[in-house]
Amino acid sequence: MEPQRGLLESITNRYSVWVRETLNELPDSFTITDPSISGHPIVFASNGFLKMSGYEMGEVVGKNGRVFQGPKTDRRSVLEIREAIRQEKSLQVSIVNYRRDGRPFWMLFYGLGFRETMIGSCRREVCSDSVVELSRVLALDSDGRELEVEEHCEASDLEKTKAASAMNNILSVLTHYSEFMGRLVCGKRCCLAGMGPLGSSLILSLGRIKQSFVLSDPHLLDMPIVYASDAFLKLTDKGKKDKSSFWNVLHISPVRNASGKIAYYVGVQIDEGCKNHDKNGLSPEMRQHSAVGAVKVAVRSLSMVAGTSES
Amino acid sequence: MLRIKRVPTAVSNFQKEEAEEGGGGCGRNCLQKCCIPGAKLPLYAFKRLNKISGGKDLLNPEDKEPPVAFLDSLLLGEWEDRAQKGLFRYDVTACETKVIPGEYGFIAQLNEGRHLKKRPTEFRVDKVLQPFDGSKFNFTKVGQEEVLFQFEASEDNEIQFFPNAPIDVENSPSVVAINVSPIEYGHVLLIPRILECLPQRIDRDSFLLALYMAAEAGNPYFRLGYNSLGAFATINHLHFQAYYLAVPFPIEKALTRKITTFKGGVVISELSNYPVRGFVFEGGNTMEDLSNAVSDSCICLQENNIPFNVFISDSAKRIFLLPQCYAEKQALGEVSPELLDTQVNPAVWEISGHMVLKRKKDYEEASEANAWRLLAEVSLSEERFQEVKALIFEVISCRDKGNPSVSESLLEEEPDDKPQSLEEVDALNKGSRHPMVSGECLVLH
Repeated sequence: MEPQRGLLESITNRYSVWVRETLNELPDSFTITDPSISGHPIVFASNGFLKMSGYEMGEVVGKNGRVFQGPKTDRRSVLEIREAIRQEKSLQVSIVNYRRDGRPFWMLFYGLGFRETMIGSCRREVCSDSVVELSRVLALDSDGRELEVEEHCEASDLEKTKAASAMNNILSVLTHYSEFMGRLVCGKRCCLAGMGPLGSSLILSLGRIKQSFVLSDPHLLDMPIVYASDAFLKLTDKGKKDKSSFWNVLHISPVRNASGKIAYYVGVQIDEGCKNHDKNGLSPEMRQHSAVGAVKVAVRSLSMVAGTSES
Repeated sequence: MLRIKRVPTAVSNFQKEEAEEGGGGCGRNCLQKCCIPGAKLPLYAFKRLNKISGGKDLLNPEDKEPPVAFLDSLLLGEWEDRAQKGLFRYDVTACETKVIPGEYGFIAQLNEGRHLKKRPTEFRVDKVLQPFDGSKFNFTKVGQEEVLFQFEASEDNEIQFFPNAPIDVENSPSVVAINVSPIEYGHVLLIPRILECLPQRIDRDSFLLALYMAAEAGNPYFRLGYNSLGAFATINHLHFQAYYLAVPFPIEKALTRKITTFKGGVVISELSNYPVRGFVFEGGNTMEDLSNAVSDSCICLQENNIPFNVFISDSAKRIFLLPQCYAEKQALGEVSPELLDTQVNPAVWEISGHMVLKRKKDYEEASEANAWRLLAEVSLSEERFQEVKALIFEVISCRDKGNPSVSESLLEEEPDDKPQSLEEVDALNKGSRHPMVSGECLVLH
């Protein structure tokens, strides 16, 4: 069955036509919903999710997440999820869902709301608050444990971490594609801290660099952005009058670790608006260079201690 | 006359083999009379400090925010710009590096490219002071593109920055230039009063300038170093080196044993439990007090023809002075072939614990014991070190007439300081700080 065209476009319009393919390549089980559309429908479901739930894409897209709920689903958890969506908060909760054939299973629900900001339009526009719903099946045996749905089942820390890193990947894909479209997904940084591939000491060092930059990891699929500086989030949040002037001053450079191998690519932006009131300072180009330098020193130095250097 | 053969490292792209150096026109935008008229360079003017502050954060709150962050924006920005322009001989961030496991955390770097394409050259190592020779390579011959900015004291006592300042020949500018063979990111050379063509020789003003640069960077991971002739300086044109490496150096972690408090509150200690014997200078009521204590000691060493290295650490709050004799030993054939084979030149960075290795084998086998063995060869013997110490103290206490306590404390200490020092070291090793030491710290900081 073909899903409704409009719903599929909800995501491709916003992120580019390629985003679905990339999302489909992620191994994780997840859905993306769009609260800006009436009924808050699912607009994307990953292959992993379809396999897990036994549904086909066309049966899921356009439906609200409640279709997976059933008699054993804890109402309090459902309310928690609803409240988290309303407040744009992230949430991890274990909940009973039902497969297409009616068999119940526990899954770890991880919801993360993120705000989109238009860049390149004349006004600051919050076009939607999308919610990514990520579900991971707990490591259950195919039959046995499913009967124990009466007992509450808490996800292990490992499962939570896996879910968090999967969420990070999804956000990275969306961020990557939204950049192409001149928009940016700003996942809330507090939700992401500590779960990306970057160590906490590196995040701390990078946090001291004042300029606007992002790091992307070429070793991951589609080179997702793994770090965005505060200045970058501010800069992209402010809204750009002229898209081209923003991209003109993008500077990309490889960043190597202590093994001398390329670990990341750093992309540094300069807010054109800053150019004028800084006549007596450094040129924007020089400030871009200095951010590149600071990132290079941080990445190299922090990967020098034995055991932490990637090879 | 003592000489050693070694492969010199090119610090400038204009540093050619002597033979290749032709006469004739310049046409390369250098810093000599031919090219300097009309030339412009950024100028960073620092504020003279009257007091040593604990760091940037302790600066007077009335101070205006500097127009440009010296290290984070200016130096790194200009350096990366030159990297993008391809002025360096290699990408130092592509050189493998690691902290060697162990108590001290020696740092090893494999740098196979640094010494390629160069013939071994003879260096005279038995004269610490040699006259400037304009026919040899010097920094007025570098291309202007290798110079990052001019660095001088501000006239109106406020930090100032001019992106495009003319080079004032009369004013004898000091400049910061890249080292085209960097051993870490941000490796630069500070060349005091470049156009005066001073030989490699410490004087009070130049040394103070180096301390100002370290203080201006305001980052403990940006250190300056100095090599005298005979202690692996290769260019006889006054210069300091500096680079940015965000890990502690072993020498900074070494225990110290206080010797005395000198004029102006400068505390002089000696390194204990470190392979190279040396002095540590810290404290002082003003940066100038600290600077003069060190530069006077350096002047004493160079006048007595004793090669030495200086390591300016902790944003100019701690300065290490290390007399050495490796080159002399090498010239006399007293260094083991095994150590010579590594071709490591123990200059200031190596002595401070950053070992730049040329062979993969040495890098892979790098251990604390190996580093220690090499550095132990660099150190003066205990006997010689005590002689040098006496020499330095004689000179600086003569210049320190106003303070009788120094000679007193010297008298107390000199005849038999062994038992006491061992006790102090023990106390430090056990982690209990000597009460005197902590008392001093409170007064000084």
